[in-house]
Amino acid sequence: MSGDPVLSIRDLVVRFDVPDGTVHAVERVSYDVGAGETVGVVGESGCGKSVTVMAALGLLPCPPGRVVGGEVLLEGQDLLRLSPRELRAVRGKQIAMVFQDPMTSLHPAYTVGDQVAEAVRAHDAGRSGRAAWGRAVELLELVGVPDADARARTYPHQWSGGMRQRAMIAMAISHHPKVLIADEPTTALDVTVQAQVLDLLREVQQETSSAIVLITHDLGVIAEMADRVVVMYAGRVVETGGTTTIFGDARHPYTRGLLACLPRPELEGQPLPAIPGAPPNLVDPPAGCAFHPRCSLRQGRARCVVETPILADVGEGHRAACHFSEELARTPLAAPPETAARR
Amino acid sequence: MTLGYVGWRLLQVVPTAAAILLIGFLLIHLAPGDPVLALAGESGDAEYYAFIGDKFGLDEPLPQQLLTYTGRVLQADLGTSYLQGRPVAEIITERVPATLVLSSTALVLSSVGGVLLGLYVAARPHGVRDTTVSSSVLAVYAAPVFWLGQLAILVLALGTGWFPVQGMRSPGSDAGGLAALYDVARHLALPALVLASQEVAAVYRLTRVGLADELASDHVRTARAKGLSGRRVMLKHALRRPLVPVVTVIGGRAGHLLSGAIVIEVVFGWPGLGRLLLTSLQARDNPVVLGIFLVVAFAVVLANLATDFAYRWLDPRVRYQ
Amino acid sequence: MKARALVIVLVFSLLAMACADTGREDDGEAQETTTTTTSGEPVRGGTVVAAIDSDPGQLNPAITTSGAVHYASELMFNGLVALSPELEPVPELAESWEVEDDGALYRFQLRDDVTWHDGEPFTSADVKFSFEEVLLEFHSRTKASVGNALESIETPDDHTVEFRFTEPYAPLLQQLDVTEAPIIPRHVYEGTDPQENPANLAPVGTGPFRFVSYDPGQEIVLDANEDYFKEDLPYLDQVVLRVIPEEGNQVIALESGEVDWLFEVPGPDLSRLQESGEFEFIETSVNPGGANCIMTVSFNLDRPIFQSVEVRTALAHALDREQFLSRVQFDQGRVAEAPIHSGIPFGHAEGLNMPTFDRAEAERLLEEAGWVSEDGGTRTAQGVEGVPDGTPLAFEFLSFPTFSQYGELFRAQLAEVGAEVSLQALEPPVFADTVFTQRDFDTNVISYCNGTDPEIGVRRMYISSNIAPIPFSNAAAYRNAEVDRLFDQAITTVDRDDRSAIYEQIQEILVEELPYFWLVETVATRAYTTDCQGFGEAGHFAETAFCEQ
Repeated sequence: MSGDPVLSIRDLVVRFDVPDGTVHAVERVSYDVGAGETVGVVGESGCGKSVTVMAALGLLPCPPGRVVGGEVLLEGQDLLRLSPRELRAVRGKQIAMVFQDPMTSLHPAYTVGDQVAEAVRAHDAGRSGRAAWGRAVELLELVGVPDADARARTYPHQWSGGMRQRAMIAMAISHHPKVLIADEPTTALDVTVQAQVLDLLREVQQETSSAIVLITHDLGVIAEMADRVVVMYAGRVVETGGTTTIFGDARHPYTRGLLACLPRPELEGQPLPAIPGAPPNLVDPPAGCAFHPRCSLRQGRARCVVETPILADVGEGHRAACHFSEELARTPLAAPPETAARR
Repeated sequence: MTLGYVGWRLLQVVPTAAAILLIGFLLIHLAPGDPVLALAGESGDAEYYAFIGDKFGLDEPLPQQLLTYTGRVLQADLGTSYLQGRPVAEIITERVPATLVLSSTALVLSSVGGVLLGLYVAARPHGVRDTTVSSSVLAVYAAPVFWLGQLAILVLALGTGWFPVQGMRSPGSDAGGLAALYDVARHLALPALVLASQEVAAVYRLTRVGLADELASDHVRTARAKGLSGRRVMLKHALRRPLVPVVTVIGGRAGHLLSGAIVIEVVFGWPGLGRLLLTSLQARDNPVVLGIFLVVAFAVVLANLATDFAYRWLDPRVRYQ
Repeated sequence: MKARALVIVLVFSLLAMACADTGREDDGEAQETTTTTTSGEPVRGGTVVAAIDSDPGQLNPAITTSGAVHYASELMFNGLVALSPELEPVPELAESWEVEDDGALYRFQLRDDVTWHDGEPFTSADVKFSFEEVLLEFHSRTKASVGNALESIETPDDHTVEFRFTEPYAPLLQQLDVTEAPIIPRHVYEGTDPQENPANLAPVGTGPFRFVSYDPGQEIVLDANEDYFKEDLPYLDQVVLRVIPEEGNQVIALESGEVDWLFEVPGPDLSRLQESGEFEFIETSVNPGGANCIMTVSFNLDRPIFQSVEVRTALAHALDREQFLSRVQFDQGRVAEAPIHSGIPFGHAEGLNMPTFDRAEAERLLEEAGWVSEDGGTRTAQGVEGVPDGTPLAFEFLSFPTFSQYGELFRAQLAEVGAEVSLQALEPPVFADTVFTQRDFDTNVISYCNGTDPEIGVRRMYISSNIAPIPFSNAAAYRNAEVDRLFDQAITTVDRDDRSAIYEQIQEILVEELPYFWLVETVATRAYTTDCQGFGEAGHFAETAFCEQ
């Protein structure tokens, strides 16, 4: 990563007020995204990876959500301090999002072409309806939709899952965003289609030179796509680093645990390893390190309970939030999954 | 799809109308009392009553009366009113415009008003706005419409003099054109408002609840992520689907409204079908009553048809079911 | 927000509409307006708006006795005579008449200066036609009374009409006004079915006002008849009859100035209107729908309970009629002192032995008749003829829904003497069917209207030949040969005093036998704005009226 980051999330804190109490959904999360690079944000469901970006774009329902503190800098401008109108100018134009389930993410009563054209006109009001439609068809062709003009006149429920996601991507790139945030873009699709969509994302990135924030719980996708990885757990960032580094030399027990869970052909026939325990209740998070109840590295040490580990450098561009991360440095890790070889 | 489909649906009116006619006919004739009293007044002698009964065929056996009547209807002859000696079709046609004006105005007011209120509250739910609007709408709905009407007259007509007390036009007015339009509009305001107040509640609640659901949906999230303005998101993306149940409700009520809001018409002296139905029933002027039943049947079918088309427009997935 | 803007626009437009003038439009054809005068000097011009209860449906008063039609149409027509408040005939279409053959022949000289609203001259042929082809076919009252006695109508010339009767017919002159026998134009109706002639919706008459428009359900607009045969009349330019079905709203319309004349003020609103000082009132028992009406309780004499005259007398004594008058009628009218209404002076008998309100007497009579009560509860029969022992003194009371208050008072008052009454309100067609056709009732209350002559509305209640499945016939099924005979005699007795004596005899018998019990004579209180005066009581109410400008 060279130069200043295009997107910089700093110490973001987001809470939710629910009847049972306050959920500490995002707890001082910080990471940067450089221009043109792909950052993979990985973690379990509920770890806050989606909430972070939604809060950054002001898309959280607010009640019950609250952004309590932090900054989100887009090329130096703090998005959290923008007025609603200013923020709208950013959304879809400088930062665009692709969501997980394209069926529900598209409006069922309007044609796909209409919705893409709407994205075009959202930040280009001067463009006529016909011109916007033309641009929409162009975009759809770009993302590989065959017979785009005719298909655009049909409705989302007449499109397949993969095609729908392509349309979502078309909408997202319509204004050459600086950052494209893809929140679990392939989770709802089957495996073969997944590969196509990921390929598409890569192509698109080459076209538009956008940075991509790829949010997923699937390490395989990370291995394939990401330049750098951000690992989150219980609302916090626990490790960041280059993809190869993370996969080869993870320094946080949680990351290790995740990697160990990946199915490997040589382990065929044996039960899949898993991380014992369950993610913490974020209304009442444990003191100290959020992972300590499940951590095999802790071995009863009190420091993990008493002191919250900070994200500290453990190598070149590599940071981990663990008191005992050096101990992991000496421990060998299993070989990274096969898919990495495809790069 | 359209023309053939419409034709097919309209054809479905026939069995409906036939059933309504048959049932209506039986109900009216099996009910105690007959038109002779209203026709002949209170002072006739036996000969006179026999004469009246004979003239209108009131003494014939029921099946025969039904047959005669059906025969006439099939020739598009709705018969002659006992009381007025005029063709039923003529009498009903005279009253239809007044009812249409009143009910369509009330329909528009309540639909638009209900949706607007729903939008207004959905934009900021669970607050003061929500409580005020919801309880007001409920209170108005719960109040008996007769009472509301009288209250409106006492306060807004007699009290402030802003609106006339009753009727559709000023007494003796023979104004034309724009002045006439204005006159009718002033007379229309209160009855339409009171009638609309009874319908607003359902529309409002459905809109509000539907909007609340939609605003939490994924496609609204996408719309926001695209950078669309709050207004556009609300009106174009969020409002569309909740309108489906709203249209259902409106369509269901439209047929009812067209039959004449009887109470409103009586309270405000509005010369519509509702009052005609009431007075004809009381006098047992059967041809008129049956004629109105038929008109209402048509109205309901038409309203259903319109609702159907509205669905298809609102949610294209319906087409393929 | 868009919604808010819309609401503001709506509110403003409502306000804008409301702030406009609420006054009525003036008729463009108004005559020259003279300055107002303070005394009774008639002023020309102006419009009177009158409220009527219901939409008439059509405007021919000769084919129906419906009140709605008559209220709406009588201003456009005339009868041969008009009736003074004392029910004496005064000239109208007929300027003079002679009675010959002891009342078997009536000869009328008609005015020769009368034209129909369409310009055609009025002649005796119109009278003959109106009676023979229309009134005697369709007008139930005239058909029932005049129709039975009439032999023929002759027209010796264009301005003379002769009514010949088989026997002397006394009441003719009371049955020739615009309510009982309106004259309609032969040249319009000849050869058509009077009930379906389109002129019924655009009438041609001779009356003080001519037809302008009929807006069904809304109003009937009438303009002054410039060529009206009564000199100088009418003073008004226009009369608008406005249909306002809700009587409460009629009052509101009067108070707001939208309406100038009410035919009937509802009891509860009367005192308020009187106190405001802005209105004048006329109390009258004459109505286009039925004159001189008495709220009458009928006993079904076919039922064993009511076959004893003591029981009937007892029940009569148990009724406090003053209470009916004050509670239900708000003191409008009077307690009925005779079976014939006091509005028919020669018929109404004075000093009759009408049962007074006397509970003790009621109870005594009931006990005597065999209706005993232990511990003050409902009485039961002990040795009553035709009634098994132990039968409770319980029976039903039927009425129109509008008269249900009578039922409630009736029940309450009779409960005091140990009679248990259950109430049933039936709407008119059902009531008529149940009471007159099925004869399935114990007691009821009916507004029996006597009319302008006892022959019209009294006779039918008491003669045995009128026990028939016809509304408002002899509900009690009273049979008394002497009464039948007396009525037959009365109808042929032309001399007023002689007739009066016969009616007195009849009423004495009726009060003894009590087939019915007469509660209150009802009146209507007309109300009108003090800006206007000169109104009449009934159909031609606006003929001599005028208003300050």
